[in-house]
Amino acid sequence: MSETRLKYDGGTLVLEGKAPAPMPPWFTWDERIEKYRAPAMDRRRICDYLAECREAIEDASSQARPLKLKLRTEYAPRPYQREALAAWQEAGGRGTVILPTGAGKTFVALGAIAHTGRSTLVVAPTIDLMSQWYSLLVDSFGIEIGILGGGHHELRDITVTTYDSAYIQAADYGNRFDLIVFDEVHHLPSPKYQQIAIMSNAWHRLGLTATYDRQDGAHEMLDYLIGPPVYKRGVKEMTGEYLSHYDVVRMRASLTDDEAERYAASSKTYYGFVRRTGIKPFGSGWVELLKMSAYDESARRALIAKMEMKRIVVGSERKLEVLDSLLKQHFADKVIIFTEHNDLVYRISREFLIPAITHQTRTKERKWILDGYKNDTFHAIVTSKVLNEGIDVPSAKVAIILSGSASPREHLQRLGRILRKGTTRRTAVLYEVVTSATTETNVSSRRRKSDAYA
Amino acid sequence: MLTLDLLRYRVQGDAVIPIYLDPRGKYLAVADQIADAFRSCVGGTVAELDEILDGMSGSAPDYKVYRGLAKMMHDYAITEPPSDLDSQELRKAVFEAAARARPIVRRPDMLFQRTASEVLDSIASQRGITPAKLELSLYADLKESQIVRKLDESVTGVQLIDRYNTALAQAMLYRATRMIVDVGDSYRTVFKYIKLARLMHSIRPYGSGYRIDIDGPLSLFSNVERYGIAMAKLLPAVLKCGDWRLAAKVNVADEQKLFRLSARTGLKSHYRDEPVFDSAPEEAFFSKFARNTKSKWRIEREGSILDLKETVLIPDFVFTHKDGRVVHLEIVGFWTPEYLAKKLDKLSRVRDAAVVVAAPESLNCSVEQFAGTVIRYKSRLLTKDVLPALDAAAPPERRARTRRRKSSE
Repeated sequence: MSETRLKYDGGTLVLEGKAPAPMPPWFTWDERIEKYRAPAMDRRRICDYLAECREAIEDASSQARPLKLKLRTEYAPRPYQREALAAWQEAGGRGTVILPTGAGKTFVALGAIAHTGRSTLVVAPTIDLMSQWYSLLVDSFGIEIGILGGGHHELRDITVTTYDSAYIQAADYGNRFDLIVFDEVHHLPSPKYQQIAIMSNAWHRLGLTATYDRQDGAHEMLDYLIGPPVYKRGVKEMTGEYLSHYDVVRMRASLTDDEAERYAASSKTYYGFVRRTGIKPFGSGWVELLKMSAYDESARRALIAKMEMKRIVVGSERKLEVLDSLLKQHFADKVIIFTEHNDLVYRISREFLIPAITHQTRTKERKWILDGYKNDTFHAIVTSKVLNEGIDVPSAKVAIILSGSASPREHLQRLGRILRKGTTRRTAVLYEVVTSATTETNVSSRRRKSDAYA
Repeated sequence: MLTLDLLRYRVQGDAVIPIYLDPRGKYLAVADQIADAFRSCVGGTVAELDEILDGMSGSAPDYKVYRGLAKMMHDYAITEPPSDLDSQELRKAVFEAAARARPIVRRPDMLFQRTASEVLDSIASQRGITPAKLELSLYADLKESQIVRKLDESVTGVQLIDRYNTALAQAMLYRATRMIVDVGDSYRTVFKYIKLARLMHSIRPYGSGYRIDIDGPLSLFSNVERYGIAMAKLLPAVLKCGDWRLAAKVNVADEQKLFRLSARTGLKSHYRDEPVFDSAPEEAFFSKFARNTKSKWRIEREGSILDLKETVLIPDFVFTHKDGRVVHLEIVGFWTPEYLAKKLDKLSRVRDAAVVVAAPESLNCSVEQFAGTVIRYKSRLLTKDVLPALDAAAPPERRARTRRRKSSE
């Protein structure tokens, strides 16, 4: 046993026993406990430094375990996936792999996990992506996978989590994993999330992203947090391969008399306010309205009226009738239904007995719903916004959008999802059901200007 | 506690001040109404309650106050799901049956005639429950389906506002990077919570009490907000201290501001009162010793903090002699072997302070591993056993070394 010991303490490393000479530069004297302390992320640098100086140290900072892992999936990696993995290994098991969306970054991670063979934490930006990683890891390694976040708190040798949960629990689990994988690693440099990397003592680190550069230049910090980029392949080399042909069909649903009356009343309140104050009725005006509503009563009334208008338009009776027809028409196809309103998601789920996924759906239920969808047990699912950022629903042939925000980026992601190349190349259909003679028609036409329709 | 979006504050120069509610001001009526709204909703769903609450705040621009009070009121309510059946399992069964019978339609026609109610009826009869019960159970686990079962009936509008004001100060601390608390006495609970939250402290004597500087391991390298929530949880314990003041550095709209609080702010703690004495014999010993006016030693309950860096020791009693000598007494009672080992380890780490340990003879352990003065007592700790031990631990000629910590440095 060495006279110098490295111990983990709440996201940091504390030096115990004899002080090494020279002292590794990452340590700072901590008056509070009268010992040397360093950020946990510097573990590897400290150990390498001491090894170079031939100073013995007992590294008691990690609780990670060796694992016997075998990949059960029978996929053949694409050449660039193999190259990316090799490049990461070459770099000592540190650094970022940059590949476009849809290029199978996750398979690079599976290779890295299998090759490293140590306790691993996978950090994803959303609960949905976390759930997707969970399914992928369960299916790939055939072992129990832990989940931290989305209502679950189970720690296992391989665990998935979100940036938010990982941030909150960084001090508790920062020494449990020797490989930490950051999906969509461009989220990491934020002041909060970077602490996940700082408070982890993981020897191996892998970042995955399609968009490495951040406008604030913070990506330079990633070099220190997880290592420099080790492999990059551009978007241009890959687009085209991943899109199939598709049709967009616009459906209109009118309001019932009662709905139209309520809509008119709210509309009068809202547009009256807009005219009086001169704020824009969309975009930045919305933010302004939210702010004003905190101190101005008429602004708050306008806000409430606007929300009521949206509720009427989104959940209109005729829209559900259109949905009814579409489901009949496509009873033999795989259908995915989107609406951004949770109330409407559950209403559709109850009325058509279709499984629903919202932010309240927990990871294990998501898994049986999406698995059931993949293996044809379910032919339709209904969901709110949550399936963003590249969730794979490859077998969806028909998408029905019952409402949508005007954000083109979000819209593209939704489109890309159902159009993503599946096992068979089929024509996808996208229905957009809008309520006629209301503002939603405008939202829809603005959305159509986006390139995806060009 | 309140969420950050419900926090109301104003900035005044370098200071930031939460906008507290006056328990006798105009919001008392609102607080009473909110408490009434909850009472009227007992037996109803959270969705119904939310609708009533939304209706109350209406278009009022100070809806944050309404929401904040309602949030605090939720703490007095107990909710439970409307059904004891496993919703997730039921859903799976229903959706699978519906998928086999697809498409499920709203308007049956020549081709498709299966409606949701048919599927629900058949599953309900398989399970021996009514279709209504099945429908109720299908999404019984959603937040908005929960039933408000019980309410702490006695809660008043004034109590609700007190609770809200404390929560407001707590929310102000969510963004704190560092907190300094000056305490006069009754600070044991504070250290309990510092330990629970795994915060770190540095202590120095300040006035007649102590100044405790609180942050976390990572604070050594940068001003992180990550300990703010733990500091917020510490606040109700600080409110229990005697004669306290608090100053915290908090980030407000990308600027660092100072947030100050003191006993004079008038915030109330909802944490339980800790008993002053651990046991009746301890209390008996204290009052007997305190009544002995002839003694040159003055006794004080938990009157000082011994800083052991990673932790603190707050001995049960502090004795101060007229000539300035100070001796601490720690009573080691019946406990688990682990607790005992930890306690003795702690005691043996005390430097530059005189400590006497008292343990019952029946205690089966080697208190002797503690190098200092040990009193073994039979059934009760007696003054006549303690007095010689005090002199043994701090002989008159050694007094310079045994004054309160600071003087020995």
